[in-house]
Amino acid sequence: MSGPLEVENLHAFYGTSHVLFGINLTVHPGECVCLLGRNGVGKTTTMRSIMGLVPARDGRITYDGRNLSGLPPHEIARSGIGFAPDARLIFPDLSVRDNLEIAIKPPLASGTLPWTLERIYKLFPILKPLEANAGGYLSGGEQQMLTVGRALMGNPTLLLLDEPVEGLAPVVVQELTQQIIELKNTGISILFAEQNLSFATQVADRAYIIEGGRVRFDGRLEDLERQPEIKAKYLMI
Amino acid sequence: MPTDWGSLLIQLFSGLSRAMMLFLVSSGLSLIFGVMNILNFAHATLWLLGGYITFSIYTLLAGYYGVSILLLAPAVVAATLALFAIGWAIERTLVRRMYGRELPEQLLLTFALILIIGDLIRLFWGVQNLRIVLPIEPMPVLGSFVNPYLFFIIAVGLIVAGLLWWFLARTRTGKIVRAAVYSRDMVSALGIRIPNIYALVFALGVAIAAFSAGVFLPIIPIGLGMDMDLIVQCFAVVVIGGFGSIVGTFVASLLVGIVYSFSILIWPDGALAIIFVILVAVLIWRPWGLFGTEMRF
Repeated sequence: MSGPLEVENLHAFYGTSHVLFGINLTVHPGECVCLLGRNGVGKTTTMRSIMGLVPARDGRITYDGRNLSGLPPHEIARSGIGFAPDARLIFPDLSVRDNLEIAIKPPLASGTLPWTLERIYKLFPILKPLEANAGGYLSGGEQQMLTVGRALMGNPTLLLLDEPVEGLAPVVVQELTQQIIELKNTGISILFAEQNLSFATQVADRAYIIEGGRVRFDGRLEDLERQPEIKAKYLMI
Repeated sequence: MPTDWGSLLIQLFSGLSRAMMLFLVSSGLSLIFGVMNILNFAHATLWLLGGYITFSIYTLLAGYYGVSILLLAPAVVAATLALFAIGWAIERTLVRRMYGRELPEQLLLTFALILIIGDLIRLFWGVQNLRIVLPIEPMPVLGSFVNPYLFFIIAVGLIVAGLLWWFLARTRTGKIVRAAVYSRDMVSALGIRIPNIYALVFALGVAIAAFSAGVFLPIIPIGLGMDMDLIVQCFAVVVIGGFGSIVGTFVASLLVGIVYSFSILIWPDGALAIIFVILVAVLIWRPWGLFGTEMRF
């Protein structure tokens, strides 16, 4: 079991504009935590800062006891964090299989069951018959599953999912919800960003509501249910 | 204008061999831009350096063993390896500082490299043109004579193009390079040590260019300033083919090489102009090149 992800007082800029104003959050081992908030409130920037893709101006990010601040993305990935960005960024002229194989990275802890092509195809059966197809010719849902599968091939202990169900058809959202719950049951820690409260309540243990680059609510989703004024103020209901 | 089949055929072969050289130099230029977003203006100057190093090694060997085409092979291999090492060192020390910078800054660095390497060449090899003279008998083809070495160049060019294709399509590192053309951030976020990929792409691109310079020594003398003529044509090739696309670079090399070769027959002074007319036409029709894709970061 790995240690927690801890983000303290994270400030980040997008170009010249200040986007994050001191974000604090924690993901405990095995937990599934959601960043809730409308478009443009800083969810993606938070994810990208954790991954080292957006430099943090101030603050501290640690994972599993290791200080990640200032490390390049490949070092952060190597400390056990997998990333599925909202833009998906499937390599379009590589086949589905190549997209997965390129991401292979051995697990950090010995004794963990490593992810293999077979395990990915078992979790996302839809990908198996497509394995020779180019990544650029997949549907949105297939691309999203491939994005998650690609992140898993690196055997992360923490998975960052940026809006995994955004723009997908309701049936596909249902399918992916089940798959993410299945994934959660493997014991992996998950931090995901979401605008959609119903998806979040189905999978997350805890949520942070972000608005204007600050955390406005921190607690269990049941507690959020009892505070309709917060939902109305910060979320699209 | 000569219209007999023999001279048209000669022009075709010389166009094809020219296309091979354009491809070998442009493929590196295109990959370096595709993966790192760096326009390496010094690419052809490193090509030229490769040619001079090949010349010196060959001359040294020929001094011991006598003039022979076989001695060209070890000279070319040694120069290719030398330029791979030089390319790696340049990327690690200088070019890596330019990632994410604006084009004018990249231009300053790579233009400085052109001047520095050019002066080093002047210092070590002097200003006169150099060539390797090999006793090669011209071959009669349809009533004209063709230098059979052109066939060798075309074959070698195709083999290297095939190897490069194999590397990009079949090896894990090659697939990572293609993925990096699409998104460096994503490749890096997968835990792949992207700085090593950058160094490899730069070194490989420069090495392939050096290889082509060596292979061409028996038919064209090398001299200062040739890098400038070549880089301009290579930029045309890469833009026509589409930055980052190896297939596009190959097709555009064939197009530019052959068109240039026939233009010389018809309108010698306008050969380069015709290339640029094609370039402009492609840019209007498909701004991202024949085989390129619209840019992403």
